[in-house]
Amino acid sequence: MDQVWEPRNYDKRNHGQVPLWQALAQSYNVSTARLGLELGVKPVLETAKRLGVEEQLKPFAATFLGAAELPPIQVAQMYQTIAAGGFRVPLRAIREVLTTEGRPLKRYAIDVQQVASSQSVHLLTRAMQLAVEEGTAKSMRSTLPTSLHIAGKTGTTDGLRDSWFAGFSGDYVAVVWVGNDKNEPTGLTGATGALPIWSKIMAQLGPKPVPQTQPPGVVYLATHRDVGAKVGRSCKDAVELPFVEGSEPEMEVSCNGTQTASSKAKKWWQRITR
Amino acid sequence: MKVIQPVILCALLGMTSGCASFSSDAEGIDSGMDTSEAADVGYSASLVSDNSAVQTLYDQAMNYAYAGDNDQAEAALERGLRIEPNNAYLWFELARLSAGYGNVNKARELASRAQSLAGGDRYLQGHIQSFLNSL
Repeated sequence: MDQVWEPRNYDKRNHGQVPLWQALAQSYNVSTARLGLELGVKPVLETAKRLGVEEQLKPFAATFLGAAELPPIQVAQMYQTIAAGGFRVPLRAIREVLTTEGRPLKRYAIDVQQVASSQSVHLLTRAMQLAVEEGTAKSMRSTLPTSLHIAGKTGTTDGLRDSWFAGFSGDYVAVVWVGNDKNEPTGLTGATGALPIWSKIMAQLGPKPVPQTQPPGVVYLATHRDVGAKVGRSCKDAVELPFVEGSEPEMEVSCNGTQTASSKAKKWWQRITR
Repeated sequence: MKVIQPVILCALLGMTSGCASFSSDAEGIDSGMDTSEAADVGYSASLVSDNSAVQTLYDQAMNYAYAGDNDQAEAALERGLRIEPNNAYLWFELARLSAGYGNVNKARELASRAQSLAGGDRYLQGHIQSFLNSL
């Protein structure tokens, strides 16, 4: 009998249509799978490669949810590219080789290549900051101050076999994997296994905050956290989100999420003047 | 010529007295700057960073570059970047060094990185844009 791939969310619940940033912050598998299928396997794998993944990822939809084996150093390379605003700098363990007198014999210079737009990376970074502020990584705040604006992502595989956390501050990128060498379940999620270790390591390094600079071509807008439409800044369900200029939501809602009269009128006018 | 005089004077003074952060409204500091001037503009260490270790490394790098030792100049700038990875001036100097020994692609990428980090520093942004236009 043919088997159907049917991903489920960790909490086994269906959350319906959710804004993209929430799908990332809350690590919703179903939203991720749907997004990946809409974009196509090939573009997603090509993006992973551009960010720094060298392993040949299998061209299946399950790869969107991490059904792939990657050494932590390649995950670190991906996150370095994101942390550097879309500029990939190959990781180096050896910077230079010196003689016994300290004279340089061979140096491995910094190499850099822009592989993703600063606007896209800014949006992704903000979503990962929201994962830390209010998503699956929010327990980090017991160890690291929110003023660091850390960005990161938890990862948990089926059967709780692998626990991941990857993220960055203004000056460090770190990846933690926790697992059993016999591939047996650990009973740990990304948030309960890798994340506390990551947080303690980072706390000892005395990290700098992630810079809050906004690249050209990005605008910030207050949007309703559930509906994704424009909303007044003072509404309790408002969240400030970045948008690539020209892609901002046009619809406006009131604080309770219903479309405003002016927004309805604008939509009606646009319909009859097309 | 009149427009770039304040810039050259500041660069000469920078080695001794240090140059205070140049006003972002300095005349002529825009992408229309002569490309050879973009390659020659020098910065004082105190403009590049507030961190004394980075200032020292920057000065070392400039001395090595002046002496023709590009490899050691790059090494000093990279050590500076390990302290301040988001320092646009250090990235820009790496770009200029790369252009100096003919690696145009690398120079372009390094300058783009500097540009992404320079933010609202119009003074530096102008130099970087002129430099990119010249490649």
